[in-house]
Amino acid sequence: MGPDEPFAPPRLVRSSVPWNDVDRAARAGIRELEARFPHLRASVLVQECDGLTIDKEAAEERIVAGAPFPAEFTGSSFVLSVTNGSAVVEWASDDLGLLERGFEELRPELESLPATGMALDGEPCSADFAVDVREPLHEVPLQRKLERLRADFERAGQLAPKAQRVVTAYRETQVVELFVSSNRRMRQQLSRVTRAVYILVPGVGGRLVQARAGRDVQGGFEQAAIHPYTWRQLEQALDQVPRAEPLTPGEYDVIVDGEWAGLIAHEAFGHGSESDMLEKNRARAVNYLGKTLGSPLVELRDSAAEPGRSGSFFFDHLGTLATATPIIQKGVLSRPISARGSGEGLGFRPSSNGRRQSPLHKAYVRMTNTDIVPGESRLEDMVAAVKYGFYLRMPLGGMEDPKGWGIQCQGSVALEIQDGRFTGKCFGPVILTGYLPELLSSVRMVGRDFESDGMGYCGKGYKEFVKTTCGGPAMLLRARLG
Amino acid sequence: MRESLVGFLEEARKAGRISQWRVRGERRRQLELYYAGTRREARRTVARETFDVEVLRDQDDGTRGHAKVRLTPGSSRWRELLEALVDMARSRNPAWSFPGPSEHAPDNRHCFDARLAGATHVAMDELSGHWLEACRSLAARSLVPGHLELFLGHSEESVTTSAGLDVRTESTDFYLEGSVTTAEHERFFLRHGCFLEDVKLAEQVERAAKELLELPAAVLVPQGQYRVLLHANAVAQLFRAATFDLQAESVHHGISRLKTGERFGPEGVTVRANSPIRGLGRSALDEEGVALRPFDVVRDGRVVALATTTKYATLTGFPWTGGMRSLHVEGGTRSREELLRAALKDGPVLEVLDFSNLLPDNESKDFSGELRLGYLHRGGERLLVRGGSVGGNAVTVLADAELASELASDYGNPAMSELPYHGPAYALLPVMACSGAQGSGS
Repeated sequence: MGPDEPFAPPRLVRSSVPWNDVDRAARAGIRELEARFPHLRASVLVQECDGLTIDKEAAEERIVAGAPFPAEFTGSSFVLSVTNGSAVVEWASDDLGLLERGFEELRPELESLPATGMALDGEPCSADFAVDVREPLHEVPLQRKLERLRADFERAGQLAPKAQRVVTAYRETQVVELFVSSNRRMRQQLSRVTRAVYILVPGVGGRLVQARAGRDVQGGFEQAAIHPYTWRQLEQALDQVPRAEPLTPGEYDVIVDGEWAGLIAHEAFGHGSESDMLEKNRARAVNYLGKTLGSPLVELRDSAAEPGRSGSFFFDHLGTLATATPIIQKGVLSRPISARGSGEGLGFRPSSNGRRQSPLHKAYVRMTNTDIVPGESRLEDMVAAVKYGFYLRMPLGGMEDPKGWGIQCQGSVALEIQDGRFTGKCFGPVILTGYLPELLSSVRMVGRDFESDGMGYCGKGYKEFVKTTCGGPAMLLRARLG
Repeated sequence: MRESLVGFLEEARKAGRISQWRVRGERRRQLELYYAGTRREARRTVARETFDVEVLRDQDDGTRGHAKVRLTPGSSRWRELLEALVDMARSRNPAWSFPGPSEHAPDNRHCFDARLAGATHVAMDELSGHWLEACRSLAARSLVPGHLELFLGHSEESVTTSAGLDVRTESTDFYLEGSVTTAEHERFFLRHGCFLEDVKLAEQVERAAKELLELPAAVLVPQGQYRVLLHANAVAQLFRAATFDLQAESVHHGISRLKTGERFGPEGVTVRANSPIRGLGRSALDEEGVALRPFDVVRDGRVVALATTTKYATLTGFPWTGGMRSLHVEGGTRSREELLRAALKDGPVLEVLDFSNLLPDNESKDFSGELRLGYLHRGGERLLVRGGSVGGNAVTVLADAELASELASDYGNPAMSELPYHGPAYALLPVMACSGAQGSGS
């Protein structure tokens, strides 16, 4: 679209934002501010969120109108951001009516931002993007959504007659974002659907354990049916999780499934290669760029440009168009993920990883869709190669340690393998720990089938949640389990 | 906007389109400061206002529908959203009601600091000075400041219901995180609170620096069976998971099977909800807007009450107590030193200073965590360890735990809805399996 061409009304969200008025006000404010402070560059990010959460269980039906977590409300918010290339001053509010006041309030603070001589302008871009959607979510009546959820609840209940609790969950998220700077003017409409089932059943020792499965993808209501893959995952979880016994801690040959491989990718050199962590001396990888850190079979990438995956977008919150970043290639750490204003000092062009939980939060370098790239091996051959070990399934979460290069990943189930065959015994819950270069160097086989259910978030430690996904193929490696 | 919302809802109620409504408003201002090393990376001002609107609607079949939305003042679509909300309240639920007027006024003295409420960037500049001073002290020891994030917040909260509840209160809070690094290692610190004087930035940096200087000597923990001595943050996490069952809501959803009179936690323990201890809490109101009041959930190791909001009192039949928004656990009789000395007579003890992350599952109560840093006490020596993991079940290990007499507070992570905790600074757990370096354990 042309630099002055008006935006059409959004198709994927029932919007209340006068986008063209906001665009004009933002451009005028930026123009005026940059004329007064020629050494500074300003930008405006406006976000409007909407959505729906429905949880159905026997005891209750919960309906929450509005964008689900990690969004914080239904409505719009904005952030004005001004930088000299080294430091940033921002003013953010969830009242769009305060946009002009924000420029006024920022002005006195800008005196403290000196010129740095850094290049601040990127290539011009003017665009209006939207996710490919057949049935926009806001056009589907609530009753149809409720009926689908109630039917799924019945089906899930039939799978687990002894269940203590069955919850079927439906989430829809619709977002419109506008990024404006002196040479960029871009808008994107994102839409995604999450479906999940949680079943609480008695486990070993009388404690309650959870069997769960879900899927989170971009799209509209055409994606709202629970996928056959999700039902299969749920049936397997119901078979395995309740009979999982405590595992004897030790170091074992381990096959991780594709979801586990994705979790390892995320916690290992997803977080370990975030350029803001590198710049703050908080990630050891800064001294290992170009060096071998794992088996040559290991390829790790992050990409926001994956149509249909729920960690994808068209541009990040700092105005960089979606990129794909090869982080580890043939076991060698090739480059960090980065963002505008972070990573240039290390000699890398910004990748599209500048993300905020919302405009009310600061932008950090964040992952998008982070994967282990598939290899050549078949799962049967990996199992056959194990004398004694475990096949890890159903990961739950993990924690990074970019400086110490430790790793913690937890999951529900470890299936025992002896002499190349499954014994039928299940163990769990399970925690995998280790020293990252040893863990990645121990990878002996990488599978050919990619798995990613699209579920999950990243908290960058503890408090900044953004939608991410991870995935990969099964991998055979050596790891410490507890 | 609050008045407009209330006007619309009351009109809908009078017209019989809904039976009840509740509006909870929060206005918040937050100042944020970010350092990358000694470079001021960002300074932010965040002004936000949100309204949680909930409606109940009586259905023809005798059930009651419920729906909720969170709005912002900038939403010009609020009228349309409320219309949609009224339409959405067609879920089928057992009947319950929003609370009416409180018996007593909210008391926010434990979570409100006038200095924080009035904080400006001038206060931030003063704290900046503390950070830069701490950085100079680090440099003198060849340590490198990693980062600092400091937020100062002030919230004003109001709750109004169609049943006549109408309350307002204020609270303040701060968030501090930072790191101190060397080429190979990092120590991270994290602190939440309600009072400006509790930020204690220099103290946090100094503790991190001291641990960082020790860290190069840490070895992978030997695999084995050890009694485990936990510090406050981990103790708080275990109590948070275990007390999840002490809520009528958990009983209603089939997660908890606890009843009053049953044994809970360490022998003789007393757990109190909503103690008005300075800094223990984030609001003077419970989740329904009712003024908090303290009550015991566990006394002398037995469950005496389940925390019950108006909603879950109706749905479960348990007596109403009000919501549980913080945990106060009474300390034991022996100090950390006494606990450790006694335990060492029976074998080695693994003392965990912190885990990489310890998030017990609220439903199974299972937990496991990688050791970020700890000590293995054995044979008269103290070995600095890291890596490896320990895990178990929060309910099971707490039942056999001994609590220390020293007390500490852990504010918990608001982003994860963790309850603020005040209680034993240490807990000695029974023997647990620890994964780690093979061939050198007990």
